[in-house]
Amino acid sequence: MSLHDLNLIVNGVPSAVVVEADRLLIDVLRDDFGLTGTKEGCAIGVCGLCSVLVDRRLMSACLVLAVCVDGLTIETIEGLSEADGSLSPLQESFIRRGGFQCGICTPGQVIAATALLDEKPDATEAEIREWMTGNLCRCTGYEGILESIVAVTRPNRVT
Amino acid sequence: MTDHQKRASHTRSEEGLVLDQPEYRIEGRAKVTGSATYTADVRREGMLDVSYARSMYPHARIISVDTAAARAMPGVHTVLLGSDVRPFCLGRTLQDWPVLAWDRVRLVGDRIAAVAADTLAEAEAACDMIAVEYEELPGIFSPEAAIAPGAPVLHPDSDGYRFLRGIRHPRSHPNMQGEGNHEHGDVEATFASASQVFEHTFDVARTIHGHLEPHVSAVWMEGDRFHVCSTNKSPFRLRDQLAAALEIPAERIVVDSEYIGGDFGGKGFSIDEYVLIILARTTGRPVRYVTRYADDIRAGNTRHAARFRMRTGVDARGRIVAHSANIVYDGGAYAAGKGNPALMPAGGLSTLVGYHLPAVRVDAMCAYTNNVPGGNARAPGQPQMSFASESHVDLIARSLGTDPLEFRRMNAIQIGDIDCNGERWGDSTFSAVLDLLHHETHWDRPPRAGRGRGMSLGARSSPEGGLTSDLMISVSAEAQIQVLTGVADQGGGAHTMMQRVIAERLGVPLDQIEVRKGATDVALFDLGAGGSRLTPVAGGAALAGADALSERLELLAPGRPVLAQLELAARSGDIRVKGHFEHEAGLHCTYACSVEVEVDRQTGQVSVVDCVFVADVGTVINPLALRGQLVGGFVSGLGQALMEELNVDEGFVTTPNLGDYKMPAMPDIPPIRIVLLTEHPGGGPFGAKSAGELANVAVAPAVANAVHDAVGVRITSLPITAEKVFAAMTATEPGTAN
Amino acid sequence: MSFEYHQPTSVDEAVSLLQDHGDDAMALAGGSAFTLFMKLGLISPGHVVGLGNLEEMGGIHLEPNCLWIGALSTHAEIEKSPIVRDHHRTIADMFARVATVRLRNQATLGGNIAHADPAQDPPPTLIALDARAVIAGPNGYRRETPLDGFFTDYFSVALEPGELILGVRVPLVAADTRATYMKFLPRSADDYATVGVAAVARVDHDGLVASSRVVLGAVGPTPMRAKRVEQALLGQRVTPQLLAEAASLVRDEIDPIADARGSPDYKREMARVWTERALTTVTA
Repeated sequence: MSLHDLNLIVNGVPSAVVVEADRLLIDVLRDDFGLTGTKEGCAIGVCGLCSVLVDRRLMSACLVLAVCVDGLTIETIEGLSEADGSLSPLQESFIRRGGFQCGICTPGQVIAATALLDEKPDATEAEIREWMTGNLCRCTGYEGILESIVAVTRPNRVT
Repeated sequence: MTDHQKRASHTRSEEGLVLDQPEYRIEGRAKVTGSATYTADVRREGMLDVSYARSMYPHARIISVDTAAARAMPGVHTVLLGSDVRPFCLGRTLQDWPVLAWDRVRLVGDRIAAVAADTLAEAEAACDMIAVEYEELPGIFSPEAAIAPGAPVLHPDSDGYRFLRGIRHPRSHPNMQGEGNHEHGDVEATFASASQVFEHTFDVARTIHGHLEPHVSAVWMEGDRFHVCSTNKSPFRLRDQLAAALEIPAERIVVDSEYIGGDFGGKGFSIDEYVLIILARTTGRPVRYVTRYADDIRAGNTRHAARFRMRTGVDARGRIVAHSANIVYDGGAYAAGKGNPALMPAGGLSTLVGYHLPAVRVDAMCAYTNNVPGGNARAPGQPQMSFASESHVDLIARSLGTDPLEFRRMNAIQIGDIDCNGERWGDSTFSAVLDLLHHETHWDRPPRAGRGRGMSLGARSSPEGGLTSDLMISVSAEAQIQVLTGVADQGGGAHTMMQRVIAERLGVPLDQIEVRKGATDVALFDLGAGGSRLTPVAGGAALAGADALSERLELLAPGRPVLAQLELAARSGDIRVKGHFEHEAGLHCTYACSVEVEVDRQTGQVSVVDCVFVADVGTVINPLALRGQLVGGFVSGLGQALMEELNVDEGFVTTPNLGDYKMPAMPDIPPIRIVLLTEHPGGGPFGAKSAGELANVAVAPAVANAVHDAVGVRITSLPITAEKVFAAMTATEPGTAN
Repeated sequence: MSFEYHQPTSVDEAVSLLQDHGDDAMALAGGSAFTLFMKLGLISPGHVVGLGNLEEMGGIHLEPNCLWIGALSTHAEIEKSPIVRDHHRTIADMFARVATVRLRNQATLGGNIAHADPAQDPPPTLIALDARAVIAGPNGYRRETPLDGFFTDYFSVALEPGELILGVRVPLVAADTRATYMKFLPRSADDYATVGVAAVARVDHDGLVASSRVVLGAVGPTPMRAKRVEQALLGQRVTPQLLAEAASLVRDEIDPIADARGSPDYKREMARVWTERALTTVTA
């Protein structure tokens, strides 16, 4: 098994880590960096619990080999709050509009929605539904998640 | 209104009504920032990971297990076999599931050996080196095969199993898990006198709970006590089951919970803590097991597959006079996951729930097979029964030429009527709920061209079981009201609910109240989530605790405002009260549901285009959580109606992953209108009722009824796939619909 | 799983590595299919050749008369590429509907083709548009081969040991050529297709079918080209009856298996229905 020196920028912090070739990004994040906000569910990239941003692109950390993201920027749910620790408008919206219940899918939902709003700040409801297809939730029935995201699209944001 | 309901009536607080504002979840910040800890996030110094060697066969004798190579693998601390721990069997009621199989396996995925190693990869690699020699045995893959002459006996030693709830009922066949029947009224005579008798058979496929967090547990020792952290939502029950199986005092086991990532009835039963306790003791290290999602699906507990033979007689006016049903449940390889003494789904005998039934005979059996074990699930047994019952009722109404809603209105239980269990109802909200449905759906107007509409109704006890709850309240040195509860949070928002109930009752700000979940060694006993009991029962304990605190504060500082009383209490240093509550039995919550569908006639694909769900919920405590429970339940019901089916082929699960077993995703959701009936208080705080298990029960028959309305075909099995609809449509004469 | 991970900086180096280690080596692009099969225990290479640094395998650009899509292009890059959207809108739209946003950001064109999962969306559309794979071999060898016929069995393509897919060339089409890809999803929006149909047709100004291609996915061990359907259309006047009759020939051109998405009979019937729908769209 080959060992590799990786340089990752995780939530804005440059970090060096040595990994075996077969390590998955989700395990490096959770075990080596102690960032347990990213969750493991189905383990095959379907449920969305492990959603992270790699160079601002939404991906399933459970399907990404760590060696493939050397030199790249990784953002997890822990990196999304504001610098002073306050919640982003999206996070606040999730609390106020019933965007979660058990919360296990919530980091993935919030990361996915953050990526969506970066790319499409004016996302329509149809675009939100399509984008969020891969983030499963068994608790809420999705209505609260959808409303939480709609409320912070640019046209709806309270200034 | 009962005395209790009058006592529970709304008390205005001085601050204004807490309950009018949507809740702000206590754990909200933790969950949206990723700082909320779940069991798989728990790390302890020197923690070992565990993996299992599991059976490749659905039914086999274990001839030998060779672990020499495994023990020599790097990172391995210990290997545990069934022969090391026999005869430990576990279960919620009947303890028939070996912690590790020593003699035979009855399930693909049955645990045979456990390896504890420094890393998960090392544990799994070692498991791959465990060589098991099997003698394959003939398998049983249906309940009918289980009781056929000459069927192999799957549990020959079942007389030796521990039964935790009294004496196990005698069984008519050694492959029976549970049997039961109910009869009231003169069934034979009433059928004979009926004007028409209708018979239909329905089948419901096995489905999974679908919690996205699998079962996870961790165990470590402190002194001679075992600390268990588990996704099991009934920590006290788990403690007691562990103590019974291991034959040690319950005080030596402390069970705690982190946030639980979804339950849906699937996390009241767990297996691995037993193995982990032994591994922790053997290795002297903390140990943890995170179930692989595929193993959670195929070797966990699922909802029971079932077949219903329904027979109902009506009189000349269309009133139901007699009903009989024969129910066969596929119990799977072990009964261990079932929480009730009858060893079948909890509501096992209650067909035609919600109707006045003067004469009833129901026979049910739950058989052992080498399929995935059946356990509890959200409203156990009820979605299956509701599908059979509400499809059956709809067919009867159609045959009589009666409007489906009117037929139900004519037959739904009113106060004083007798239900399927022979119980007389002292409350009934069906009239109100049906009126609301009629109004909200413009029922007198037929649906748009090309659409079909179908409805269902039903009821549950509010709550189903678990009528007692206790918690403790104290006042901190900072004058905070501190609630200590044993209730674990599986997502329903119980802690926030308790906070709101207490704030509402005492008239204090929400942030004056902290709710802490305690482990089994510090909190008072609570059964945990189940039967939709938390809001009415644990909430009732919160209310009782608030009242007890209020009395205590009055003694301390009579007549003073409550905030001043709290300041004094903080200084006095020792205010601690108990909130004890016993919810009255015999209350009900009801629902009615309507869906509209469009059917693609060329493919059979069913699209649900509109839904109305009327729920009798009493007083709303947490509006966002309630909406979530009803919409979320509805969506899981939609999944069961249209797409969910755990295929088990000769004991092998062919869909053990979420790529093949599909659950609804956001684009699949139709508009769902929730209509709340709140004018009929229940027995919970301020008149709250149960709600969490209403919606998922309602959907499948409403969809089947709507499909029949749309294209004239009746699908009598779940899920209602496009292929089934297509086959039914093409079986009738092409181009015509009846 | 234990392997040596190599990061060659040129195609020739990558090809050499693949050749040297033979059956014990696999090429890695986005890695989604790789990690999945690794977790399922279906693969265990001793050597993994990471392709991420190879510029020759990247890029999307126009060449004379064709569109070049590098093998390392992700689904998302193809979906969003203005060049693809302008010249082969159907390809962009098809890639936009594969799986989820996450998968589209990770999975590549080359990986998708080499993985050769017959239920996946891209191959039928690419075959219907007469796409060709550009392949690198040992000693600087290059060849081009149509994707039609390139898929040989479940998870198998006609790649020799040591060969690498560099990219795909898709001929540009005349303005009156219409193309579509339809996927039948009766369960959830997030699912493999029960049947997928890619159809391309050109109808001349007399209303006769000048050319067509019909390729189906998820109904056989490889993408299935329905040549008899194409032959039935050629030179014929487009009428609903023609399309219905032609589509009905698809039943014998495919070989579906029973799985969670349906029985073989149902899939055959749905192939017919969706072929007819696809043909209606491209001949309208």
